[in-house]
Amino acid sequence: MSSDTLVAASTKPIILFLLLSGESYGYQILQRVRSVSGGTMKWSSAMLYPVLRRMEKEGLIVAEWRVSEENRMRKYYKLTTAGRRELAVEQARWIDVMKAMKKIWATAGTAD
Amino acid sequence: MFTLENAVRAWKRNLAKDQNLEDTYIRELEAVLRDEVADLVRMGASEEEAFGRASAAMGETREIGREFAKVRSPLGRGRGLRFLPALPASYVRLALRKIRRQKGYSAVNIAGLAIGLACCLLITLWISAELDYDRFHAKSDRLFQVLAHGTNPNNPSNPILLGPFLESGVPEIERAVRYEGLGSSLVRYGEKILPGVSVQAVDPGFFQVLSFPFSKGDPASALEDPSHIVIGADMASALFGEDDPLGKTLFIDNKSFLVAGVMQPIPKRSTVEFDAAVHFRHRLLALEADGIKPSWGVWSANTFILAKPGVSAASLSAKIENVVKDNDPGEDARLSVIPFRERRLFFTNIRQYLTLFAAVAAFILVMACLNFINMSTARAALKAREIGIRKVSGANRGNLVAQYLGESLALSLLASLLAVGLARLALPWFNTLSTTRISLEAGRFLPAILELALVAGIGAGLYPAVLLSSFKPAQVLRGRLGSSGKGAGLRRGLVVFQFGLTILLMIGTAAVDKQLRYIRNKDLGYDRDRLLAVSLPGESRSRIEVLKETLLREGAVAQITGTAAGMANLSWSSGTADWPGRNPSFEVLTFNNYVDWDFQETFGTALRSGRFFSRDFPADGEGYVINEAFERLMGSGSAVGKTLTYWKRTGPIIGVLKDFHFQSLQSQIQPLVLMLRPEQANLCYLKIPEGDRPAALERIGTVWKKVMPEYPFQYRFMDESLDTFYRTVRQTGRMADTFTILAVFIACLGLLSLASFMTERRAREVSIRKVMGASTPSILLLLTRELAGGVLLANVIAWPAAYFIMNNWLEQFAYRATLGAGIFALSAAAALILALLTIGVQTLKTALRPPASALRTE
Repeated sequence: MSSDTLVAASTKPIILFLLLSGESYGYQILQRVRSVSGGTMKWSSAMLYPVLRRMEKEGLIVAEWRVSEENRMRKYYKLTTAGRRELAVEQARWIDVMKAMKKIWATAGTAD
Repeated sequence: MFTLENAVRAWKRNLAKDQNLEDTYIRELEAVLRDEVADLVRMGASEEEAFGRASAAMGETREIGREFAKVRSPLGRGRGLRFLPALPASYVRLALRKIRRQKGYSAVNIAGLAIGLACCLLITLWISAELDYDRFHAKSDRLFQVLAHGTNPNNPSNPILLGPFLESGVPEIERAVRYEGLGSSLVRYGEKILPGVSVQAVDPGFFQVLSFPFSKGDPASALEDPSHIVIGADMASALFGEDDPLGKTLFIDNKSFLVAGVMQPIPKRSTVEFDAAVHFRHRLLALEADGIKPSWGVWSANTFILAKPGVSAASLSAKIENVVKDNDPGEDARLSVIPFRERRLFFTNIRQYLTLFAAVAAFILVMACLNFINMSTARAALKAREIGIRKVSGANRGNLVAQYLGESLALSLLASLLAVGLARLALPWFNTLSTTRISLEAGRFLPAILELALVAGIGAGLYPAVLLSSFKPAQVLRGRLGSSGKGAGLRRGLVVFQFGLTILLMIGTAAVDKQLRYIRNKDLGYDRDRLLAVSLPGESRSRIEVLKETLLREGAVAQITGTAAGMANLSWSSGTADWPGRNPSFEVLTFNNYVDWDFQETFGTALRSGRFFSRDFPADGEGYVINEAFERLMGSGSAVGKTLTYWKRTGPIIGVLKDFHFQSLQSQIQPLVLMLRPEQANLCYLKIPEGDRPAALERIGTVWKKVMPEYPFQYRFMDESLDTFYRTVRQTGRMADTFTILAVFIACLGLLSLASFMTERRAREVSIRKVMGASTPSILLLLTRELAGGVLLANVIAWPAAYFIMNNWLEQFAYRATLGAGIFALSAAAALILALLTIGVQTLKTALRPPASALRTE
């Protein structure tokens, strides 16, 4: 799996997770991803918005245009019930993967 | 100098170039960009620097576009959707708004289309009703009618022995039943008498093969017993009222029958109609009473076949082709079958009328659509600016095409609603006109009208949509779209085409009328005036001599003669004529009739040579009188004195009559053989004295009552009988008249609105011309020249087409009127006058308008 693919696979659970604490808008999501990952993950807007659009279509999130405190139009995203359920599924899936990976690294040592 | 707003605007414009980036995406990206810029500014960067970094972080437009392409909405490409509604409902809303804004134009379009659609709807329903005949029989897909080739093709008679032979001898056939009329009979029940009842002799399986529904009795067994009769609903109520007819005994021509079945009214669309049916044995008994033994040589019955499942008409025809030849070695006739449900198409000439009116319906619809196309393209110059603005705002061509198509569909749907209303109003009148009884059943007409509306909407809207959407915004907005160009050329072309169709219809209608007049006035070769036919039911035949004597003695009639078959449209035919020297391979179809001595005098037919049957020559019963057509068939020289073998009986030809018409003018005069059999008379022809018709009829009625008190006096003038043969032609003529008027109206409606539009557009030109000294007539000429020229050109195009089509139509008549230049000239003049009248008022108004008013407005 290329790193791009890995990143792409992780976007959905990450967005779901970030929205679990409350509604957010695009720029804020990008910033939080950067801070949560300690700066290792840098998402672009071009990557984020198509994913948000797809998740909207899947009914995992809903969006609404509102005027921000800075008097600018912003689109706010919020988790739906389906989104919460999806997050639980994604979480379980990633935990399984991580457990498996940990075991594999423990027995095989590091690559170098 | 850098301003953030300008930079963001430029950045967005750049993004907008990518078709994958919908408007809503760009807005979201803009929000992120502004957030990031604000953050960077807060951290101390200048706006310009912040914008540079933030936009660079966003990435290249192409990159962004590629990402968004993955989730792009399948509905419409790009940002056009921002300017145009994506849903048909919005198109309809837009269209309705336009209709309100342009009332006159919309009214013309909708009214024209509605009239066109209503005409089409009525014609379509009429055609489908005409094609619906004989389909109500449950086994109609397996039902066939037997035809014989070599005899009269319009007379589907077969040998009387054919039915039983086919049923027992051909494994592909499940049932074969005979059907033959016993003529018009007098039915009596107690004191009640019903004259003129059509009784058919049928095989017992008839009601199992054909599905005439019964209200009483069992169709399968009703006619098993030869003494039984099945009667129709009308006859049952006329004879028995509320009583149950089953088991009652009635008399037909003094023979008793027990009612064993009562039919429900025969469905409207049935080619087989009768009042009562009896066992076929009664037909055989009638033949025997006349001294004729049933044989393969007696051709009189219709034969209907119910084939086994999966048997085709072709295989059945091949199977039975030689049955007659095999059983009657002297007979050359070949047999074939046609599907029963095609009887109407086969035995009448309705097919050509259906084709004709399908074409008329198409013409009218096309004309209504042309109005729409014309008006839409004419208004292109007005719409051009709107289109330019839409295009500049980002609408793409597909969106515009969709919108204009939507508009035209909305108009056609509105027109179809109106059309249904119009059709409903016109239905009683149309039914009278077409002598049918169609109804607007939703199941039938809804799909039809929706299909028509769809065809009209797309047909009329597609070209304007494509044309309008092709305008170049820059040129349009600079005002470079003039009145010339392809739109104007097309408009003129369409007016020419539309008027061409109108003139075609006018010439067609005039030709039909001329032929009808020709038929009415054609010399038939005998004197049809004052000639009336009286049928002789049952026993009354035996009293014909007494009747003749009394009528002549009392001066009630000038002449009287009895014949076996009607002479208005003689259908008795035979293929068995033979004479010395006949080429054996020569197939001869001849018509024949039994007559008495007074036939020639009563009909006033001229004698060419020899003499007619005479009481002074007792041996005339052995001889024949033929017509000129027969004489020509026999070769050169006079036929008088030659011998003729007819129906296997040989005798001398004693006279040759000059040709006269004994069938419709659609066919040539056929060879005719007359035989002297006064006792076979089924009807008599009476020549009433000149003068007061009602008085003469009253005198005849009085004598009739004296001689035949139990039979009602029923007569029909020869003129009326002849008229019925041309009923379809007459009806076609009337329908063609009506639809031509409507087509002309639609064409004029289009012309009117086009003229009003054109004169409006030229108002300034007209005003300037007037100021410069142009006279009103010269301005009138200027304004009408173009359209009038178009109408004249339409004539040139329509004439050859009309000549070809109408000549083809007239060819069905052996005797026909010539088209003549008059019809063409009249149609041209009528079209031109109509066109001038239509555009005249509008142009006159413009020409008379004070120049200042137009110039001020402009």
